[in-house]
Formats: sequence, C-alpha cells, structure tokens
Amino acid sequence: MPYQSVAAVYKLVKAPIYSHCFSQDKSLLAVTCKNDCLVYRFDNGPAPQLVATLANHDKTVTAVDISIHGRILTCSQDRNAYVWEPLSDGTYKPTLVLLRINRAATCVSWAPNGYKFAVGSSARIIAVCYYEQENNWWVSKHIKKPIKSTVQCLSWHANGVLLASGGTDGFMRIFSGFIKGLDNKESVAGSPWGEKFPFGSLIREFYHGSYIEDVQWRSSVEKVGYVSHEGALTVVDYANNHAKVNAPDGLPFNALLWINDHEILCAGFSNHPVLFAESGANQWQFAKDIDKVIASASSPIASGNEDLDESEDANGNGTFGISALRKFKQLDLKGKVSTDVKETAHENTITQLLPYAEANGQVSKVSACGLDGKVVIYNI
Amino acid sequence: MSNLYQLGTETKNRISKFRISTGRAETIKGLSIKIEPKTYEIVINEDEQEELDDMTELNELAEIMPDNSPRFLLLAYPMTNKDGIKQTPLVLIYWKPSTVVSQEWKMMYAGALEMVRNECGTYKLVEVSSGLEDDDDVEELIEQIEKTK
Repeated sequence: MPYQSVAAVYKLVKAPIYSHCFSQDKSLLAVTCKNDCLVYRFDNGPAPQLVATLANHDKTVTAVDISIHGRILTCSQDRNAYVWEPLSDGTYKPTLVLLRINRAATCVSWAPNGYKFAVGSSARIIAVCYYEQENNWWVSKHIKKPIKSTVQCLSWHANGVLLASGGTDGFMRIFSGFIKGLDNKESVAGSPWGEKFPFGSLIREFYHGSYIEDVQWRSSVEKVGYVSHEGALTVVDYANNHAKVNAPDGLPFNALLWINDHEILCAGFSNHPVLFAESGANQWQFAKDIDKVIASASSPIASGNEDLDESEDANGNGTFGISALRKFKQLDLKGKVSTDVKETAHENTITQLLPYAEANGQVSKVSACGLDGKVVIYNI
Repeated sequence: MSNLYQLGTETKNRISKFRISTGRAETIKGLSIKIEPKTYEIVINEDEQEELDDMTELNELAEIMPDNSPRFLLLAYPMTNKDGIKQTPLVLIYWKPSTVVSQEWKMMYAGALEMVRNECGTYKLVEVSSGLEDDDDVEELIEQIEKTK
C-alpha cells in the first residue's frame, strides 16, 4: 500500500481544539471544546461517537490529559482543575482539585504512574497535585521559585520525579516533583541530572529568550527537546550540550513529539508536521515535511492569453490533460487555473501532537489536534 | 477545661527534657508534637523527630513537616540579641499549612493549642500557615522569631 501521510481525519467540533488526549487503548478520545471537555468513543464505525460531555468549568478549558488508569484531568482558565473518574455506567464523576492559584491554568500532565499530576498556570506557579488517601482529597503543592511568568508547557520524565517546564519568561527549567510518600528515592538513583531532588528544587535551567511553547523529555537518552516562538527546535542534555535547528518555513511550532531516540516531529503554524533528525553528535537538522502541499505553481488571475499559455506549460502535470471547457470554467469561477485542490489535512494551526501508535520506542502514528476543530492521525 | 486531649507523663518528660537540654544549644533544635487522630492523645512524633534532629536550617522544615496535617513544633532557636548576648529562646511554632484539607484536624489542633502552650511554657507563639513554600516565608518566620526577643 502506498505511503499515505494522513491516516484519518476526524472533524469533531466547530471550535478550536486546544488540547486532546486518547485513552491508553485508544478507544476513547477527549478533546477540549470551549468550556467543556468532550469524550468520544471509537467503535470501528465511520465516525467517533460522543459519549460524554464533561461540563463543570466556567471558562475555556485549556488542557486535558488521561492517566494510565483512565482518569481524565481537565484544567481551565477558571483557575480550577477537575479529575474525572470513569464510572461503570459510562459517566464521569468530577472531583475538584484546589490548585490555590489566582490566574488561569494553562497545561496539565499526569505523571507516568498516574497518582500525581502537574498543572502549569499563568500565576507563575506549577501545582503538583497528589491524592490524600486519609482525607479523600487532592492536595496541591506549589513550585514557585524562580518562575517569573506564565508556564506554558510541562513534561514528566519517565522516573516521575523530574519535571521539565517552559514558559513565557524564556526559560526551560527542570524541577523536582518528588512527593514524599508517593515517590521513592530508587527511581532517581543514578540520575545524571543530580543527586538530591527535594520537592520544588530547580535541577537545571536553560535560558532561551523567546517563549517556550512545548517541551518534551526523551527519558531513554536523558535529553529534553523544546520548541520556541521564534521558530526553532532545541535539544539539550544533562551535560548542557545544546543543539538548535530552525523551522524550514520560518513559522513557529506549537508542539513537538519524540518519534524515536534520534527523531523529533514538530507542528505548529504551518498546519502540517515537520520531521527533524539527529544528523551527528549534537547536530539536528530538517528531515522531511509530512502532509505538506507542494504548491502546484497555480497562477493567479490570468488576464491575457499569453499568460495562460505560459502558466499552462509551467504547470507541467498540473493542467496537462484538463479539458479546455473545464479550464475556462475554473478560471471564471476561481480566478486561477489549478486542478488539484489538495490542502493540508489541518486547515489551521496544529496545537498538540501525541503518539497514537508506538512500538519498541518508535512512534509510527501521531495524532494532532488544531484550531480548525479537527483531530488528524498521521503516518510517519 | 476540656478533658478531650490527653497529655501523658512521657510526653511531659520529653518536653521538659528538651527545654533543659537546648538551653545552650548552638544549632536549631526542634521537637515535633502531634495529636493522634483517633485517641486525641498528644505525643511526640518520632519519625519527624529523627529528621528534625538532623536539621540545621529553618528552610529544611518545609521538607520535614507534613503538608497535610498541622503540628506543634517546639523550637530552640539560638541567636545573638542586640546586646551581644547569646540566647536560645524557646518558641512554639503552630504549623498549619494551607495544604491541610481536613477541617476536623485543624479544629482538633486549635483546641489543643492552649494546653500544649502551657505545657511547653513558652512565651512566644508563631503561626506558620504558608507551609514555608517560599524562601520569603522562611525569612518572615525568622523575623517573627527574632522580634523583641
């Protein structure tokens, strides 16, 4: 079967989707839509079915994540976060998490073990929350120093202690999210990033300058990748080695995803994912575009016949074989001659990338949500 | 006076021993007092006590003290007052971080406060409700301890 870059397109809502998440077995998809979080089920039918609307937030829901146990976590500009517990009848029971922040929550991330999570906010605070068994309540601990501005993205290391964060103060920082009683010292024994990890301590910080839009750990090689607002992808490791590569079309990326230990997929304002590969020790470069529309040299309004003739030749296989009648009809209708109306699967900015199918540390399919209200699955 | 809380002789002995032994202490020493939730008995918290014995700075308190339960902490804080005299006054710290969720526990500790205060015989009481999350909070605490004493 020939390589298709787009495996599936799901047009779900008529509003931007800022964040989405699949359940562990990919049967459920949660997307943010205005003030709610919508949960869809994939039943092998043509389109996903809406099974639940999680509507407790008063303002725009900014992020959603699903834990390995199936708990849905949503956070919103109303300064709250809810943990939705799935019940046996298919509905969800919300539990409010008191974040104690006085500004919007911007991003969430469950820790790998599913018993704690981190929430980034515009209050210059990262709230790390864990469940208090005795009191049947989620407690939030704050990481404040030295964050100076909105936290936009968070990523947990596989050990569940190191937490990378990026924000609008231009810094990518790595903190410790070690919770006494929940984490144990063995999980960070021998870590190249440091020796002691008391909660909230700053393990490392990297100054970048422009806003950090998204950050992600690659635990197996102890590296962190992040994308920033001036249109670059940067990869750093524990020895402070630093590699930077720019977006090919100059438009910034909003999201990144490690495909394997040497490749990163990024997506953002250019509406299609871009793959970067490690080309040498500490060197990264552009590998390929995925689902990019190759501009078929369609010419603008052709006024005179000469222009038309030229453009026809230049188009090559574009207008070759098109009937004269159709050509003029198109010209009349659209003001230009172009046979292929191929566009990128996403019509608007991509906001988040998540792995959809993964085997042996290699991601083969990626899901992306965007401001056009669609979730698209790409093949790598 | 309520008989709800029980203060055993063992606890009283520990407290008085602490008060005597830290009279000339060079480093910060703390005694962690907690209330057993079921029996309402006032006891010394041994697990935290071990860690407290290793403590050298006040900012380590944030690590050692629980953030989901209140505590009473009898603190011996060595300092040199403005006349140049070295003193180690005893201060009772009422540890009440905002991350405590149980209203019941908060009331339980609030009720026992006077009793513990009498037993410890300290003049000063400092309430810590920030959980010492920030360095600023630790400095504020130091200021409060050193004020007029």
